[in-house]
Amino acid sequence: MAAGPVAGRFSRPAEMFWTAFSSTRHTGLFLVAPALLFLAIWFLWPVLSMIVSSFSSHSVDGVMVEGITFENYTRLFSSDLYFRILMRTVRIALLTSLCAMVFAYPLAIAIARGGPSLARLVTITILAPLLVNVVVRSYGWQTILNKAGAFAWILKQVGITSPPVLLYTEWAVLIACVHVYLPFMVMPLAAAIGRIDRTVEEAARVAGATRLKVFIRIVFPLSLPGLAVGASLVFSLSSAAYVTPQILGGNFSPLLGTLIEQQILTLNDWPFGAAISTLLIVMVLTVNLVFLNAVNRRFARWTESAR
Amino acid sequence: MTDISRRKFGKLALATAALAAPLAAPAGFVRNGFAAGKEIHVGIWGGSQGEFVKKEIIPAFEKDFNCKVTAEEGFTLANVGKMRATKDNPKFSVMFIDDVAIPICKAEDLIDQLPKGDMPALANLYDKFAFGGWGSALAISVASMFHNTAVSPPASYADLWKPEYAGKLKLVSPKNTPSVFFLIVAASIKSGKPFAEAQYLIDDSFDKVAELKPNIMNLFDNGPQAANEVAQGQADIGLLELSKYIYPYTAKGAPVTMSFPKEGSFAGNNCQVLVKGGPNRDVAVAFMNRMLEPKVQKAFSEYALTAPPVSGIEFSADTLKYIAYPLSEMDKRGLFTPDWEFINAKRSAWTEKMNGIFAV
Repeated sequence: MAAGPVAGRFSRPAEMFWTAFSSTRHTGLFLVAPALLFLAIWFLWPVLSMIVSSFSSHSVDGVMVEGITFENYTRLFSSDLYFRILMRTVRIALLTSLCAMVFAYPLAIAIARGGPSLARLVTITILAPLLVNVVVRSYGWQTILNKAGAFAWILKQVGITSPPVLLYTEWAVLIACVHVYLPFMVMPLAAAIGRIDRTVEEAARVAGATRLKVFIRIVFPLSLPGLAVGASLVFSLSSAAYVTPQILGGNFSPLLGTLIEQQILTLNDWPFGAAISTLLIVMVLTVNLVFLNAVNRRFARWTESAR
Repeated sequence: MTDISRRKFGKLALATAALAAPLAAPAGFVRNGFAAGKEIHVGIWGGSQGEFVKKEIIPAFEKDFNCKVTAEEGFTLANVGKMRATKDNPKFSVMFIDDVAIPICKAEDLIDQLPKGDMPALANLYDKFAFGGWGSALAISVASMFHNTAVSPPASYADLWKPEYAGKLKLVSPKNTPSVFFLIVAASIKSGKPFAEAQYLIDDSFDKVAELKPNIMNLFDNGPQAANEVAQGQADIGLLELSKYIYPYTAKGAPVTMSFPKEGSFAGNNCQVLVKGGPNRDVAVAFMNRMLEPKVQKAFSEYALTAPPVSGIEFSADTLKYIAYPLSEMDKRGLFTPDWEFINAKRSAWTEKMNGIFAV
């Protein structure tokens, strides 16, 4: 224990500094400042310059014309192409969140309420796919879902003679998105369910509630904060997905990300690409705000009535 | 007179030779002395072509010219982007791009004309690959249809619109250059006119493009992957792709190959351009000249299975199976090079129309 006095010598000034520092009015501000500064430089500034770029020039017959313009946005809303793809993006992201939620609850309950070894097993199983690169996973799904893939083979074994080919359809994109983003739903949900006092559930059971009723009346409402975080993560990630729709959608079901890449890398129309990106950010932000607001209000009402 | 024994004389002679050797060596390099110690940055392609440039061509050039060549991989539009970004203070001296982008670079004042007097290898360059002196081709691929060898491909592109091909075709994505070739094909089928005239009729041909949709399984943007899927039998036919992405698989024995419908085929021209105001221009010019020298061109072509843009190179019958060479063979196959200046201005609008058909 030779380190003791040394550590003590160093920790005393630190302790004194902390005592002085932690009691100021601005302590909280000081603590979040590094993260805020980081985000301001590496996130806020690039996003702002992207938005400025969408207003600063536009392309006429392949040549950039500089100057303040709303042309990129006029173009964005003048054809129904971008609106339809925006709607597809929202649809896929919502469906992914919904499917992930349905699959996530049993898994989250197993993690939060199961024994330690079951919880560990489920957690590892859920997180294991994250260890594999998303490109590899998407190509894996491609092999499963193609015309001669495992999925078609299984359907043939059970007597379906001409199984539907899912590859290069919206279904393929949805299946892979749910697989990829499921852990982002399960983990916050498991944490939220873990925080629910077990005695509340037990009391309900003693009072004669069925397991389903306990889930609907107690577990689900009290896990809403976790669900809100999970759904928000899954929605945001899947609406910005690029690799999965690209590999599994076969350009028949592109999401906005694909169109952004096309504008930037193929057509070299950065301002229009910036306009589509701005549209994507506004959409994701709006949906998240509306959703989180709705969940918070509902949670407040439910917990209020429970008091 | 000093008395020197035979053995001593031998030793002295050896020592003199050993001392003289390093002194004599630079004399051998005098021809290329201007390049000694200089460095240039070259924007090259990825894939097998880029690999060959990095592993074979650059080390030999560096040795011969006692200079340093730093290669950075990219693709046509990324390389154009790099030139734009560094226009005020150019970092690159030579850029590899496809012919499609030469008019853009010229219009944006990013490139210089090649100095003919300093590039003796230009003497053998076929005129059609000189682009008015604004660059030179390095490798020519043929763009056409590719198919699984178990399938007999149609003799005319027009047949692809028949219902028997429902869901069996893979079409190149609008983000890839060969997508323009497909639009020219569609315009040619609709109007009955040859490619040279049909390219100006694309705007009126999107109804023909839309008619093909039921036959399209997906739009691919990765040529080698599409070649693989056709080889596996996932789809019967792919349209259209450059031979450099298909033939390497054919040569390895995969059941995929190319066919050349009667309407003609397209030339995919990989080129090099001289960056305007780029550092060490003299070394850059020497490097570009080296790229066109017969020895380099022969090895480069055999590696990537592309045709050289210069005359007078002998190939084995095995290689000639995969490339259209010499010029007379290219002409015989009706290799068409589109009017890129016209097309580039329209590309964005056409991509939007293609998206409107296939992406919704």
